[in-house]
Amino acid sequence: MESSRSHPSTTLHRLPDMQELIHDFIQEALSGLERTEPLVESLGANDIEAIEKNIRILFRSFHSMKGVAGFLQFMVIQDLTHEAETLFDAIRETPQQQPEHILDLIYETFDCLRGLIGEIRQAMPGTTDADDHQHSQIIIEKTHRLIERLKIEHGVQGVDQEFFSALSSSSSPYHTYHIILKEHAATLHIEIHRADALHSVPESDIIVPVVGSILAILNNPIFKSLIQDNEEASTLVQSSSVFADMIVSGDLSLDVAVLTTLHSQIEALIQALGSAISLLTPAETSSALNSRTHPLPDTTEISSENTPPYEEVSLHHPEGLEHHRAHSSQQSNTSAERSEIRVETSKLDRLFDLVGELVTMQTMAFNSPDIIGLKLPQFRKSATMLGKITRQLQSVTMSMRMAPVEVLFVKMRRVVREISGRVGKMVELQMNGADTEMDKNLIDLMFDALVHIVRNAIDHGIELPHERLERGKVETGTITLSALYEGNDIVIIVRDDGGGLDRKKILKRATERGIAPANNDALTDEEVWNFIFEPGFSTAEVVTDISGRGVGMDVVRQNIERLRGQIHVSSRFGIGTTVTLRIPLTLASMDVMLVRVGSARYAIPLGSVRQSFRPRAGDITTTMDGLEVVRVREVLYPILRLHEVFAQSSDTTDLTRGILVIVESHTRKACVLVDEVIGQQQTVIKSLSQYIGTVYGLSGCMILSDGHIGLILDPEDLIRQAEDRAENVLV
Amino acid sequence: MKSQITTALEAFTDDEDINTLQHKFIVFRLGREEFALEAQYVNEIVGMQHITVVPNVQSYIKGVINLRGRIIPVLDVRLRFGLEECTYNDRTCIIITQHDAFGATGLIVDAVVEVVDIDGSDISDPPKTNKGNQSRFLQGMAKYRDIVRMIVNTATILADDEVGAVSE
Repeated sequence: MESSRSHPSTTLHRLPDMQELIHDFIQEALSGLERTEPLVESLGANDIEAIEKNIRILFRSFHSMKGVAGFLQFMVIQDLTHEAETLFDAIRETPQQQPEHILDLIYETFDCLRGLIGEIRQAMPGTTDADDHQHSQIIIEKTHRLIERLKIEHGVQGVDQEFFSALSSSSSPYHTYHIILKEHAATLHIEIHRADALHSVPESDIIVPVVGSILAILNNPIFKSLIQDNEEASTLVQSSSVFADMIVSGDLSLDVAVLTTLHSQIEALIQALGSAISLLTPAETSSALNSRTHPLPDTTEISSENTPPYEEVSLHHPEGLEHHRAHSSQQSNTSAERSEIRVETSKLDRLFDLVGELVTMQTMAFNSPDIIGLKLPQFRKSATMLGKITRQLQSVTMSMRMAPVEVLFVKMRRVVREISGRVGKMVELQMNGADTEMDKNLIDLMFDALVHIVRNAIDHGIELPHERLERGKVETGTITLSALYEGNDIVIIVRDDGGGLDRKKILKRATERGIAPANNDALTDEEVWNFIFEPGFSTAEVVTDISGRGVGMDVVRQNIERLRGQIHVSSRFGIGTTVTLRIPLTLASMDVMLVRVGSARYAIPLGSVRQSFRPRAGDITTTMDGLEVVRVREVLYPILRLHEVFAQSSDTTDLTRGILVIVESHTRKACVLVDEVIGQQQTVIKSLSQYIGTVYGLSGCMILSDGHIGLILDPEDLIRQAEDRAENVLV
Repeated sequence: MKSQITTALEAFTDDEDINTLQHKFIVFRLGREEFALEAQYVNEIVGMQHITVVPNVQSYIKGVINLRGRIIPVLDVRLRFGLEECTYNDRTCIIITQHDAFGATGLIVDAVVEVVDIDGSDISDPPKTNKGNQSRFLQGMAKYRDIVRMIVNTATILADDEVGAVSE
C-alpha cells in the first residue's frame, strides 16, 4: 500500500508548484477538519433536521478532501475519506440519532486524518524530517484498521445517486459525470468546469480540479478493467491522459477550447462504452434510483448533470448554536454559513502595520507646519472625510482578527463527551456568550488551557451519578462555559456543579509537599486554592489517565500569564468550582505604569504593580553582602536598582530619594528602584524588532506620546534576578 | 549636499523594479573612507533620530528608533567595523535596510554621499588580509570613476557573529 508520504506520481512531479499544491491541500484539509469536527456531535442528538444538514456538510468537506488527495496521490487519505464518505451517506439515508460508537468512529477518522496530514507536512521539504518512519507506519496501519471498521459499519452499499442530486443546483460552473460502480461499492463522480466557467474563474483555480477529476477516473482500477477490451474507449482514455499531462506540465493552457474538447472526449467515451453502460438524464437518474430496490448487477451507470461547486463553507455558527450578532447587515438570516477567505497571518500583520503608518502619516500631514494658520475650507473638508475613512479602515482591520469565542467552546463538546464517557459520569455542557468575539490568535492559544480546566472539572469536580443522587443533586452534572467583556478584558468562566475543592485535602497535600506552613488555619481559601497551581500538585488518590498527575494547572497558569491574563479559582465544598480566566482583549494592548530612570522611560505592566512608595531610611536594611532589603508592613522585599540592572545613569542612587515600586509575579514580589513615577496609560505593545529579539528584563516596547520609545519591563525576569541575588547572599 | 542625496535617492525609491536596483549602490562615508551598499537592501535613508537605548545588547546596537510607528533597531557601522565612535551631527544618516533574515534595521553612517551604478564586471574580490577580521564585512572592491570603493556585505554586518549572542 502506498504510504501517505509517497512521492507524487510521475505524471505530476513535473508540475512546478507541486509543493504549493500540497501545502494548500494541508492547509485546506486541516481547516476543513477544524470546521466540520464540531458538527459530529450533532449526529448523536435526536434532531433529524440537524443531522441531515450537518451530514451533508461533512460529506462535502470529506468529498473535496478525497478529490484533492486522489489528485496528489495520497492514497491512504483518499481511501479513508472514501470510506468515511460512504458511512456519512449511510447515515444520510436513514437520518436518525447515531449511537456512541459511530461518533467515536467518526472522531477517530478525524484524528487519523490529522495524523496523516501531519505526516505529509513532516515529509515536506524544508521541514526537519525527524526519524518518524515508524510513527507514520503506525498511523497508516491504524488507518487501515479504521477503514476496515468503517466498511463493516456502513456495509457494502453503493453511494446513492440521489444524494448528489440533492446537492445540485442549476447555476453551476461544473458539468458533472457520475459513474457508479455498484458492485464495488464505489462511486466516481467527476466535476469538470464547463467551458464558460472560465469567464468567472481564473484558469489557475481549475487546473487542479479538472486534472484531478480526469486522473481520478483514469486511475480507477474498475474503470480500467471496463475499458480494457474496448479499443475505442482505450484510445480516448489515452488521449485524455495525454491532455491531462500537458495541462499539468504547463505545455497546454487550460482555455475554453481545451475544456470543450475535454467534455466532448468524455462524452465520446460514454458513447464508446455505450453497450456496457446506460446514459441517463438527471431526471431518469433519480427516478431510476428511487424505484430501485436492489443494486443493479454488474452494470456501471454514467449520468450527467449539474452540481454546485463545492463552496467554501464557514461554520463559525453551526446548527444549534446560532447566537448571531446583528452587527452585520449583510449577514443572511437564512444561512448559518458565511463565506470566508484564508489569509496568511503575515499579510494581516503587514496590513495592521500599514494602517498604523497611515494613521500616523495622516496626522502628520494634517498638522503640517506648512498649512498651519491657513484657511483651506475645501482641504479641511476633504481632510475630515479622509480622517473618517482612515478610522473606519482601522476599525475594520482590527475586527479582521476577531472571531467568536464559540469556535473555542464547541470544541469542548467533544472533550466533555469523551472524558465523561471514560470516567462514567454524566455531564451536560452549557454555553453563554458564545458570540463574544476575541482575537483569533488568542482563541488558538487558549485552547489547551480550556481543555485542561474542563477535563479537571469532569474528572475531579463532577461526582459519579450515584454520588450526586446521594447528595440530593440531579444525576447529570453541568459545566457552564461563559464569555463576556469586562473593561478591556475578555473573561471566560468555567463553572461546574460538582463536589468543589476540598480545603483539608489540599492543605494536607500542600503540607506534605512542604509548600504550605504547618500552621495553616490562617490561610484564606483563596490562598489554599492557589496551591493547585503549584507544579506537580495533585490531590487525586488515583492517578487516572485523564488527570491527577498534577501536570496541568501549573501549565494552564503559565499559558494564561503568557497572554498577560489572570486565572482565579473559587469553590465551595459540595457546591461546585468556578475557574475564571481574565485575558486582555487583544495581545496588542495593555495598561502600564510609566516610570523614569535618568533619561530613559520604562513601562511596568499595571497587572504586576502592587504599590509604589518612597522608602524611609529606617525601613531599609543592607546586609553585609550588599543585599538591600526594604520592610513594608512587616514583609521584607529585595530591592533591585533598575539603573544597575540596565547599567545606565539615574538621577539618584540614594534609595530614600527615589521611588520603590513593588512588582509581583506568581505571588513572588520584589522592589524596583526608579527615579520617578510618570503615570499610567494604555498602550500598544510592540516587539523590540526581529533583529534584537528578546532582551533579558524586557518584554517589548511602546511608543510614548512624544514619539519616543519606552521599554516595557518583564517583572518575571526582574523578580527572578532579585531572588537569585537574595539566594546567593542568604544561602 | 542633502538635496543632492535626496534627488539621487528618488532614483530608486520611485517604485522601481527590483531588477533595476541590481547595479545600484548607496555610497556612504565613515571618516575618510567611502563604502558602497547594495541598494536592493535599502528602503530609505533618514536623518538622525532620537534613539532609545536598549540595554543588554551588543555594544554596536545603539538602540531602537520610531520610524512612523515602526520600531527599527539601529547599528552604528563605525562600531561594527571596529572604528572609533564619533558624535552624531546633522550629516549623520541612518540607512534603513530590509533584509529577509534580519527584518528592517538601520545603519548609522557618517554621511550618505550618492547613489551610483556599478557594473558587475567592475567588481573584484576583496583583498585578503591578515589584519583583523574586518574583511568579512567586505564582499568586493569596485572601481568607479577611477575611485576604488569597498562594497560592504550587508548580511555579515547584520549577522551576530560574536559569541554571547544578542542577549539571553
